[in-house]
Amino acid sequence: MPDELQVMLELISDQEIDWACAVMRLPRNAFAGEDGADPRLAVMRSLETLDVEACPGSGKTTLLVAKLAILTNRWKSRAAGGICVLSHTNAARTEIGDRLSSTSAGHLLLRHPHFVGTIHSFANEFLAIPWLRSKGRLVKAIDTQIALNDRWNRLPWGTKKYLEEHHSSAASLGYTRQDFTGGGKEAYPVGQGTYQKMLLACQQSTEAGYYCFDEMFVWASELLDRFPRCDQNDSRTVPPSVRRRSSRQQRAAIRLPASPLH
Amino acid sequence: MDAGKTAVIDALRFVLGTRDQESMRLELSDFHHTPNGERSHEITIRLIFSGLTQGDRSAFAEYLTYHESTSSEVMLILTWVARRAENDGPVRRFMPIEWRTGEKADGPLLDAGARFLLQATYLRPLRDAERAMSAGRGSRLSQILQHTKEIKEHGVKFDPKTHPLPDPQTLSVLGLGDYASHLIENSHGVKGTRKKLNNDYLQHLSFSGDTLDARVRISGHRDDSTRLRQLLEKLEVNLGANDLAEGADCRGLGSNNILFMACELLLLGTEVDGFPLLMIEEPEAHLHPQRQLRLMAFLQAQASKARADGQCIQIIVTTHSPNLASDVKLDNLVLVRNGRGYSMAEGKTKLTTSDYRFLQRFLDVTKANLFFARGVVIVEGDAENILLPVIASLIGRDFENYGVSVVNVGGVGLSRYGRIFMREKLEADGRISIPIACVTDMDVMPDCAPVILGKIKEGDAVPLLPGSKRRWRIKSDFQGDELDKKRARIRDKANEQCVRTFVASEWTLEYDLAYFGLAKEVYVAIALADADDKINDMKATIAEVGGAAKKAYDELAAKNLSKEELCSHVYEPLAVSNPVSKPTVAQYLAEILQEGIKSGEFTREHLKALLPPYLVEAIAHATEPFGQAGSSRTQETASSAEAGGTPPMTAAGGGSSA
Repeated sequence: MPDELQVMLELISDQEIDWACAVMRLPRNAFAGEDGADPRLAVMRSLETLDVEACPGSGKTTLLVAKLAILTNRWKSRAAGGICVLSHTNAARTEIGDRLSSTSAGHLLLRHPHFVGTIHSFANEFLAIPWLRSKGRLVKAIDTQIALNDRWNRLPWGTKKYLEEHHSSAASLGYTRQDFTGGGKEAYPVGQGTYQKMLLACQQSTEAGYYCFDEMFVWASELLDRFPRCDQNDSRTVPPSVRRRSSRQQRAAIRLPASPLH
Repeated sequence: MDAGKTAVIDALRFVLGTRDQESMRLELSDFHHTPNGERSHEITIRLIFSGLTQGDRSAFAEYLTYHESTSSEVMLILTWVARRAENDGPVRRFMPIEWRTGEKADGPLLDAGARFLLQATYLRPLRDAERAMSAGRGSRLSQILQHTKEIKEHGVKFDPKTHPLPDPQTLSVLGLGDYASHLIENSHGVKGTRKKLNNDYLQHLSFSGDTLDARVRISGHRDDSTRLRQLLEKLEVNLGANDLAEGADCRGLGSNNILFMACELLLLGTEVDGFPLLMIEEPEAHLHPQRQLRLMAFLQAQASKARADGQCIQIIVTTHSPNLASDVKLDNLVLVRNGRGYSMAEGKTKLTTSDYRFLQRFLDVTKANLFFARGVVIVEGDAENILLPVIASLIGRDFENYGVSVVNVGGVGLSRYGRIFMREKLEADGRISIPIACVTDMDVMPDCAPVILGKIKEGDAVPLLPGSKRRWRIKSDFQGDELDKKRARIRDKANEQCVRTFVASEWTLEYDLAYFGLAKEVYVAIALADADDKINDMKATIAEVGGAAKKAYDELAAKNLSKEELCSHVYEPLAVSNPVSKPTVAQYLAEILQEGIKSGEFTREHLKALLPPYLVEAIAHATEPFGQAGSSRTQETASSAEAGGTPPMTAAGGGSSA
């Protein structure tokens, strides 16, 4: 960890916690509890890597947002990086918008150099989209539904009928590799008419700017292959204590984009 | 915008912003005005940042452009767009400015926070260094000091409750300030006055239960950073070997400017992050030439030092000073001319690697003049250097009026200087519109000359080539069109684009002058130069020597010699061992010709007809062509038109590409 960050991460003080409670319109002892022994306070103060497991509705996101607000306030140096919050849903982002809308911390947290969002939006924003833009590829829509519909409509009538007879649908028109192979079409013999037509539909639809959510990882990983040091771009995203780890499912996704990408 | 170097700097300031937080206002006049009077609606400035460090790549990850072909090329491409509101209303004349990213400006808009990382340091021209370095509210010095690591991080704060009072050595700057405030507040005088004020006056003026209580203290602001700023604003910096020096006012503007730049560099060097770009406009202001050279050397050394994060400072200097231009590596020079920048980097010009090595050594202050001229005549000797401006002026092409510089390269590397102005990729760059005329000798003597000059005895055969070591050449050494080929070879070393080489038709400058019609004048000038010492010692007068020379020439001319023989005799004193000084001859010849025009002996047209054609062509190239019916514009209009134009300028950049 760079020195500047160490300096920045002095222990979170009671004053700061009080401030966070006030701006979020929470009771003063929202984290400390009546007797000051609530485990939330320990989580709040901790600057270590933590794995927080708690039942739904127990306030994991609220605690995270309060902590983020405090860290954002302390964030002075821009080049030292930013705070990166990754989760499976946009709950954190929404909560920041709701709870911190009246503070500058709330606005700053959603802007450069920080990042709050899903693993998909992270890969899109920092890897896939800049790469596709550099390649001169159009990005019109990143939406599985729209992309698959577009591809289905590009198939000749005969192929559609044939696929329907074989209980295949638009869902089989995704791809998992940069040459548009992989996905549902692999159930059909390679090199034959149906396969070729599905492949062509994938390619044309992509060239027209339509992408499924997961396909963005294909392009993100192409960038990582071509420019191997790119993955270190994550150094802007930082302190381990900030990473949200509230459930086992999420943990896999949170570690780093590298694992789902490869 | 004005088409020059300031426009380039201003463009950078608009896009990057500067650290002095001085914002630039967009003006209607900044939009391009087409010749037919229409104003454009949009200004686009495109910057490409390459050579990014790992840190840069993280900070701008979402804005980057990757080049597929070369897998190492990662760039940040920034397009700044300012648009004019469609109807020129009084309220809102401009649309909000956009900072777009990506190759086709199709990427996300650059966030204000990310823009902050790109801020450059800018030193404006003719800045008031004395004011910037003196104490006062918002002084630049206080801004610089506030950001210095030592001031921010060293020492502890002062706490009046500690007993005994702390050792001043351990305190931070702010702590010391607070300590001093505390001591003053508790000093006898202040305390006594406060007591008097409270007991004798305020007490009697207060309501009971709501006593007014006065406190006397220095800057009681609660916020640490405000207190520190106020403290630092009290400081001033000045130069002085001892404490008795009065301050900034006892040093010249030049020294203060140096001090100012040193402080800015200190700040720039200590910063761990941010974009290390320093823009200095005309640092030569108030500096004497030696200091300019020292400054340039220092700046170049700074630019080659890497910061902790692997980034080098890039310095962009604009200048009108040949001193600075001569010291900058030619590679780092950008010539700004007619609104275009011409990089002098290797590969951009037609100079070879050996040319760059040569010019790095030989391109000194006087020669660096050529970067600033509107036209350049490059010559090989002092004689040309003296004579050409005089001749040009006498035939109506005054070099000063045309902004033409004569650069004397002294016999070596003539074509290398010419090639500076030849672009390697003409289509991409466009041609440099500065006419460059290289003037050089042919150095082949007529067949009769070796005997007249005493190189061989009358009747002897000319030594054969190859086979002898003679360095001189005569016309009959060249068969058929070989002489023309030799001339073309000399010419073609630098004869493209705006550069032309003019080779003497016959032999050398003086011989050619004599050959084409000024034989008598050259003869007299040589005689005068030969008697120069006597004339200076008052042992002879110009009239005496001149008169005798004219008579001697007339006798020579009456001998019915061929033109070559006559001119070789005229030229003889310049080509023998222990010759007459050519520059002195040039000096006298210049006087003779000036006198001739003044006395009406020649008209301008007559003189032009007597000159060697290659000189007339060279002068015409560097200034403007001679029309059929005299000049296309008179001298008067020419000079006023030139004065109205923008002077040529040079910008130099040092350091890495960032």
